[in-house]
Amino acid sequence: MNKVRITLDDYRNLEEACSNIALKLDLENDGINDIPSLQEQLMKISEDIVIELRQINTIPDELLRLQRVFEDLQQNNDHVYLIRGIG
Amino acid sequence: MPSPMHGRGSSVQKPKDFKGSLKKIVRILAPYKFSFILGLITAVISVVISVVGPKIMGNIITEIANGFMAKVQGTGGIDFDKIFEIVSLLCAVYALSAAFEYVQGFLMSGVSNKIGYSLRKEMNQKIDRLPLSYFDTHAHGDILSRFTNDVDTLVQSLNQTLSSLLSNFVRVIGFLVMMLSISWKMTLLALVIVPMSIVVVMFVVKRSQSYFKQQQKSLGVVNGHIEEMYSAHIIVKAFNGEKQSMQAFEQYNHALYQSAWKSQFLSGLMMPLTQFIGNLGYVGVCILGGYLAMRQEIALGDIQSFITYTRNFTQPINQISQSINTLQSTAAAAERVFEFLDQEEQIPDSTTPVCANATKGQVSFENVVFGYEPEKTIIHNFSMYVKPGQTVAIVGPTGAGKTTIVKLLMRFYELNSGAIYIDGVNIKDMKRSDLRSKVGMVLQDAWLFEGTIMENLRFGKQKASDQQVIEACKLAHVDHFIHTLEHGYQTMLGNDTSNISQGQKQLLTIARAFLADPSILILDEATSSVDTRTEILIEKGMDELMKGRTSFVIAHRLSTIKNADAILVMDHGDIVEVGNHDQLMKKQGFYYNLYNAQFEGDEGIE
Repeated sequence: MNKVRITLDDYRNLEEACSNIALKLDLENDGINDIPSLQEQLMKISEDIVIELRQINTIPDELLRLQRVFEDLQQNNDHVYLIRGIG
Repeated sequence: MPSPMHGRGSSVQKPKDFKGSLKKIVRILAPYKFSFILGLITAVISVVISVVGPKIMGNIITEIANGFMAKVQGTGGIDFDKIFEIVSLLCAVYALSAAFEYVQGFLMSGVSNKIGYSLRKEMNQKIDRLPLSYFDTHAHGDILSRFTNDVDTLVQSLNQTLSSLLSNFVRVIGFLVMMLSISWKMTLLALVIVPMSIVVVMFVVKRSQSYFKQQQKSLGVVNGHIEEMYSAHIIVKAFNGEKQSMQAFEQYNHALYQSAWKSQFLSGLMMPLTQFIGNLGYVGVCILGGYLAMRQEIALGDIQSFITYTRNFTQPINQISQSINTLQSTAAAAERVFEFLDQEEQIPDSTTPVCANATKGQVSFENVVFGYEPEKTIIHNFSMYVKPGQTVAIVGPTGAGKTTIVKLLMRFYELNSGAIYIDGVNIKDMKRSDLRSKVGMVLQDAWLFEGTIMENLRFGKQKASDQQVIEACKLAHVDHFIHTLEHGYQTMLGNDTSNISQGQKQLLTIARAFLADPSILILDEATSSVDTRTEILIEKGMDELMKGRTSFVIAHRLSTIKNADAILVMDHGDIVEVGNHDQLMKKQGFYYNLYNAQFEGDEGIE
């Protein structure tokens, strides 16, 4: 099973984060630069994947919204196994 | 008079750290210091007042003797008014002493029992915070003994020993002062007997201690044997083990008898020996007192007073030595109680727990490393991802550690490293109560308590209506059975629930799980201890229950194993293979052999 690590601290803003996450997850990344478009593509994941979401330090408020995106994804897409990285 | 043993064996143990234990006792006394100190003060006052009694009594004798002499010489007679005055004073002194003693008893028993109450409460709360590993390494009897015997010893001791110690100390000083006030010569003679008494007491205590220890040890063995034989008496009978059990009991009981009579005989010697020495001193004092009275150095009544003081002088000394002995066992009991209370607790729930309301039932094991002992890991870097509604069968020979995964999922034990996630939330970030409310358990060793069937079923969901309970029972195929009982859902289950069979108990726990409606299930399939008809009902009930829920099944049925989405194969506590039935059969490893050994014959039946 594929495992992808996403470290929220690596991003400066939401646009950069969405685009990089799309790249990491091999999503159709044309124009993914905001949350709705990212959410739409994430829901299309059809192969089992483990996504490790990490946050090491304090991050900008706008990036915190991504946590909610992945929580929703985990609830709504059975192919996604969300785990939280520590430190 | 308190015996050195207090009639309880656990009290003979010596504390490892006497001073440390006493400090802790002082700490628990702190909230009641006012009452406790007042109790000690009243004890001291009571003793101080009563110490004067013999001297006043001597004055009566002196007055009678003087009056008698005056009458003989024809110069007067006995002054009854004065005697009445002295008697009144004596009554007042003893009444006052008794009143203070009453206040002391009231205060000290209140304080000691409040401490007992709070210690038991604290220990009861502690038991919920202890990790399960503590119970793996400590015998239940030992824990129970700390709850009952040790707390009781502590309470009794606080109630009696400390005040007795102080009272007797004051009594010794008081007697000494009164004796010196009568005659220093007689006092000197009387004091010669004290070191002799002390030497005898030390000699006896030293020899009896080792037997007391042996008695304690033997008592523990006898108790353990009785408890074991009583709780498993059906098994003992079934395997014709009565003779063997009786022989073992005879042996343990004999060892207890030997140590008990020796220890009690030796400790029983203490009193007659010290009394004998005391009587020698008493004789000496009588002779010297008579001589001094003849020389008119002391009054006649003073001899009587002094003899009373002498006779009673060794008594508080004996009691002090006994109190010190009891204090040792109190400190040992306190040490055991505090050792329990100071045990390292399970990691507390997260202060910011994640609380997901709806649970899908997705379970992820991520790089899980675990061992019951830190240096001996049995699960090495195990990862597994379970989709909502999937079934994971856990198989392996008896004693392979199939319940380990279950215990980890319920967070009964902490992982060495790695994490378990339920719907993406690390179970360490959840409150234990939330986690356990998401997971339902149906075990073979079904747990039911004393109460009605309805109450037992509602344990799964307190607010469930009667109709919901009945619906759950129908789904679990146990409704019919309950209706065959005279009182139906109001049937009382006994303390040991022996009035229903093992299989019926399991059906009830299936119904309880239906009622709780958890998204994740832990099931332990029935084995041969259940009759065939009930087994079929249990299987049906479990199959119904598993529908749409993520299930971890300690599997014994071939159909469960074959239909499972994943099989965890365990051996010697370790996960040796993971996969589905086909994958594992192709691998021709441990599962392949296990399957062939256990299920090959069942294939046709299936």
